[in-house]
Order: sequence, then C-alpha cells, then structure tokens
Amino acid sequence: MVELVELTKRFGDVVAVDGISLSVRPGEFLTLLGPSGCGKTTTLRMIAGFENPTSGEIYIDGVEMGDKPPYLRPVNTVFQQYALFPHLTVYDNIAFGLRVKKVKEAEVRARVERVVRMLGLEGLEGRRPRQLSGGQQQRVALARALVVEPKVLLLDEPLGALDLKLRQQIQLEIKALQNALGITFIYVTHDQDEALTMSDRIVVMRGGRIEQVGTPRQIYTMPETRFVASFIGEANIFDGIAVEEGGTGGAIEWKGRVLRGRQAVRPIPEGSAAALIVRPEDVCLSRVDGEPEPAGDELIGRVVEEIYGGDHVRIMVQLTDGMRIRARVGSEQAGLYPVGSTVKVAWPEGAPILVAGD
Amino acid sequence: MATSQTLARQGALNVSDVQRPRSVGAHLLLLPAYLWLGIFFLLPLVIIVYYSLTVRTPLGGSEAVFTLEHYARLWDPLYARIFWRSLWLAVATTVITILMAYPFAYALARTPQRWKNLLLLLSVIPFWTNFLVRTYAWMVILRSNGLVNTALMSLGLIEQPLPLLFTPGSVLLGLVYGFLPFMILPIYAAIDRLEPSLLEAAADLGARPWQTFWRVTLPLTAPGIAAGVLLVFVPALGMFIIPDLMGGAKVTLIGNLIQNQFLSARNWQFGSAASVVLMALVVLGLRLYKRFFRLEGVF
Ligand SMILES: Nc1ncnc2c1ncn2[C@@H]1O[C@H](COP(=O)(O)OP(=O)(O)OP(=O)(O)O)[C@@H](O)[C@H]1O
Ligand SMILES: [Mg+2]
Repeated sequence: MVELVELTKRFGDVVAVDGISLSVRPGEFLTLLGPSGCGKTTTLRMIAGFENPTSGEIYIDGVEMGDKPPYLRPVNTVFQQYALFPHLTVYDNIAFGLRVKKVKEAEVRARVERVVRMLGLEGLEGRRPRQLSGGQQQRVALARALVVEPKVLLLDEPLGALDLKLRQQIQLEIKALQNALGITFIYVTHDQDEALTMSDRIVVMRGGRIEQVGTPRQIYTMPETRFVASFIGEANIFDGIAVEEGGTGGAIEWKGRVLRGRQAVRPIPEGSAAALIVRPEDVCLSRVDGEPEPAGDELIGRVVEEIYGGDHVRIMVQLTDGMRIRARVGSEQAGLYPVGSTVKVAWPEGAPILVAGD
Repeated sequence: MATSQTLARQGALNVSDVQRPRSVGAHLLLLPAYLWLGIFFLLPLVIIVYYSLTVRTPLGGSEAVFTLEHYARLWDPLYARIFWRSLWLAVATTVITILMAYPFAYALARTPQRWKNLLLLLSVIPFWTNFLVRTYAWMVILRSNGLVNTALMSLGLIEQPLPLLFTPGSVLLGLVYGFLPFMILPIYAAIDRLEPSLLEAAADLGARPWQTFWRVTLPLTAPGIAAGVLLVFVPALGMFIIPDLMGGAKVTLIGNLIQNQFLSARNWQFGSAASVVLMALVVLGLRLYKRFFRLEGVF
C-alpha cells in the first residue's frame, strides 16, 4: 500500500531520516515508534507530501509520488494539534475535503452525517472548534480526514494532547474504526503502551533509522537490539561480553559470572559486547537469611523499595555488586519481601533475551 | 492585530463579562477614565454640536438661538459634490491600498527571517520623515516642470507638460501613498500569525493553492484587513493636507471644507455642521461595516 525505498531527509547538517525502507500492507495498522527527534514526524510529512525527500522514493498504491503536492496524494493526515479551521463550524470543517473536490452538496450532507454518527459528534455540528473539548476536537480531526475516504490515513501523535483516560478510550475507538473501515493507518507515537495496544506492526525508529519491525509481541518478546529492548517495556539490562555456550542458548560473561539467555535473533560474535535483557515480570525472588553477600553464581541483594500496584507489586533489589534489579510479582506476594530483607534474584531458564550491546 | 485567536479570546471575555453589575467603587475607580473622556472627547463634541445648531453673529460668535440653517446649507449641490467626492476617494484609497498591501504583506510574511526585518523596516521608513515633506516630494515629481514631465519631454514623448498635479488622480495617488503602510502592517501581522499547519491541513484535504487561499487564508486574515480598513478609511475621509497640496483648489474634500470654514471663512457654525455630518457618516459607515462583516473582535 505504501512503500518507502531508501528514504532520506536532511535539514542542512541534520539527517532527520536516514535511508529507511519499509513496506506497509493494505489495511494494516502500522505504528512508527521512537524517542523524540528520531524522525517519525519527518517520515510522515514526506509521505503526506509536506516535505520533499532528499533522496529515496515513496510509492502509494504502486504509484511513485515524486514531488506530487499533498492535494494530489491519496492520503490524509490527522495532525498532532488537530489543525481544525477556527473560522469554520464542525460541519464545515468535516465537509471541507468534499467541497474542495466539488462533491454535490446533497452527497456532502449524507457523507458528513455518516462520519458524524460514526464518531459520536451528533449535536456538535454547529459549533466552532474552540467551543469543543480536546477529545471532541480530536474526533472532528479524525472525521475530517475519514470523510474523504483516503487509502491511507496518517496520524501524528493524535492523542498526545489528551489525558490518560480519554487517550485509552479513544485508542480503542480508533482501533475499532480502523478494523471496520479497513483503511491503512500509519500512526506515530512515542508512547510504547499506545503502540503495543493498537498496532498490527510496530516500526521502532532511532536516530532516523529503523531498529526493528515486527508485531507488538515480536517487538516485546524478541527485541533485536539493546535499544529496542530498553525502549519497549521495562527491562533489567546486564551489559557484558558474549561467550560461547554449548546447546541452544547464548550467554554473556557479566562481572565474572556466566548468565544464560535465549539465542539472539541477530547473531553476536563471540567476545563482542552483548546485553542480557530480563523483564521485571520474569524475575523470581526468594528470601535468604542473613546479610547479602556475594555467593558464587547467584545474584543476592537487598530489597530497597516495594511499591504496591493493585494487581501487582514492584520490588527494587540492590545487588551486592551495585546493579539495581526491578521485579514485578503478583499481588499475592505483597509483604513477602519487606524493605531491608535479603533476597536471591533468579529467572526461569530461557526467559532472558540476548542482544548485541551498543 | 486581531487574529482568529485573539477574536476567540475576546469572544470568551465577552461571555464571562456579561452584564456584571458595577459597584459604586468600580465607578469611582473609573473616574479618571471618565474625566479623560469627558475633557478630551465629550466636551469638544458638545461644543461642536452647539456651534452647529446656533446662529452666527456678524463677528463670527455664536448667538444662543436654535437654527438648522447650517445643515440646510450642506444640501447645496456644491457641498453634496464635495461629500460625494470625499467618500469615493476614501473608498477608492481603501480598496487600492488593500489590493496593493495584501500581496506585499503576504510576500513579506513568507520571506525568510533575515530579509523580513529589512523589508519591514523599508516599509515603515517613510514614517520617520515628516508627512508634509513627503507630500511635497510628490509635488516635485508631478508638477508641470517636475521630474515626470521633464523626463517625458526630454524624451520627446510629449510636447506640453501633462497636467499630473491638482487632479483627483493625484489626490488619490497621494492618499494611497500616505496610507499604504497603515494597511500593510495589520495585514502583515495577521498573515504572519496564520498557523502554517492550517494551510497544510487544507492542502492535505485536497485543496489546491487558490482554494486554500479563498477558503482558509483570506477568511483567517480578514481581521487584519478589517483593522487596516479602519486605519485607512476613517482618516482618509477627513484628510485635508494631501488634497490641499496635491489637489489644490480643484479637488476640495470635506477636510478642506471644514478647515476653510474654521480658519479662513471663520464660519465655525457651518464648519461644525460639516464636522457633525462627517462624524455621523463615519459612525454610520462603521456600523454597516461591522454588521456586514460581523467583525466584533476588531472594534
Ligand atoms: N524543518 C526542520 N528544519 C530543521 N530540522 C528539522 C526540521 N524538522 C525536523 N528537524 C529535525 O529532524 C529531526 C527529526 O525530527 P522529527 O520531527 O521527525 O522527530 P520526531 O520523531 O517526530 O520527534 P517527536 O517525537 O519529538 O515529535 C530532529 O532532530 C529535528 O530537530
Ligand atoms: Mg513528531
């Protein structure tokens, strides 16, 4: 549906997007995820036609876009700050895209009414954007883009300005809408939870490049780089040196110990920097008597923090060799590891993920 | 100048300010403002209205006898023509300055920052020179042995000097020249504050550049035009220096009429009547204008 080939954008000395290639499938919900300044917005703006690529190509529905202006591209954008026309009513805002295409007024009315119903905007048609709440403005922005029935909808952090609760509600609505309409969505966010909840596939970006593309599950359970592992979800990261290890797994040497993990997706040469990733929910704790002291291969530490979180408890353990481990256990274990107690830290074999170090 | 956002803000203010009863204390606090208005605005107005409705004594004083004769005199076709000429010249000045200022202001607002300040400076530099001097400069250019005529004659294009000065055209030129910056600045401010994302949104929805202009840019910068119209039309209607210098005796406007009645003819009563009518015209014009463009935020 959308095909990016070696797409690059430079602003003077700044390389905002650095040769990314990507293929977006029809009807897919694809999310561009990455830290601030990694080039998400720039990528989206090139697809929409607001920026010309420095090099590389963009194909939409098989057609090369070249320097086609935005008004000739079969994509529409939902802007981060909505960019609703302040001088037009909700109705006229939504009708804008149809009227500039000279659609007959009777059809305009029918189509506007349909999206108004779809997005629950009934009764607001006569209002101006400034008379709407943030969530309502968001819906109008969505309605305005959807009414022209684009092949691809581009959304740049459309929920960034909303509070958490409303954001979660609209996330579900947007996802349901996308399922129902079958339009391809390219969605930009730097909120990993949002990306994990909504996407069919996630593209993790960093410094203008793509780090990894995959389903939310792949990205979370099989990160290919240390960056992806640390950016998506919480992680305890052991930085060490890759060592040869018999059998199926990989291992690193970390402070004199050998820590085993799953084989890395991208092979890591022996002797090079590698990191072992342990998710907090994989950490198992057990009480140990006495003061924490180094004991062979085992990781022993002292509990420094216990935070009750309803269905779970977060526990912070200070290991004897300085590193802090975050654990997340079920709430039935609340109170088992009080602050100051000595614990042993372990995890099920095969839970840790091995990735190349930075 | 008022952008849509300030319009919006003012709208919000109006809503929250709805008829809050003012206490005596609030009135006391406003006393300086009332005094200021009373001395500099109301008092002169009352005096002018008084003069316009009383009989003139042979020495030019006012006798406290009510009369409408000065207003009746204004119906004379001679004066009606002056009013009419003033009106169309002011309207023409306004329209021409809009047509000239808009593209200029638009280009200015779209210029890279480096050049922008320079261009902005150039467009207000005339303000630093006395208005009278600049008007004389135009006379030097346009008079029969002025720059234009001398150049055309030495090129052999004309035999006789063209009558460029002392025509309605020269007055219009002077007015447009004098008032252009007052139109450029508010329009520039409005265009400069226009959210670029709104133009992108329009293009994104399929609007071609000219559709974006008519449907988004122009409506959102209209408050700038409206402000410019006020700054140009009202003073242009009462202007007397430019028609005096560039129009001579042939192109008399209301401003000249009033000026003459007060200074030369010493008929303050008739001059006052003309002033009152001019003021009434302006107020009426503004009301219509406001109703027509629904631009509450600008006033
Ligand atoms: N018009 C521009 N001129 C110069 N540099 C720019 C421009 N637009 C973006 N950049 C730079 O390009 C890089 C990528 O910017 P971009 O807006 O794409 O990031 P982003 O991933 O959308 O970040 P965020 O999550 O903060 O929105 C940044 O370093 C930014 O400073
Ligand atoms: Mg961005």
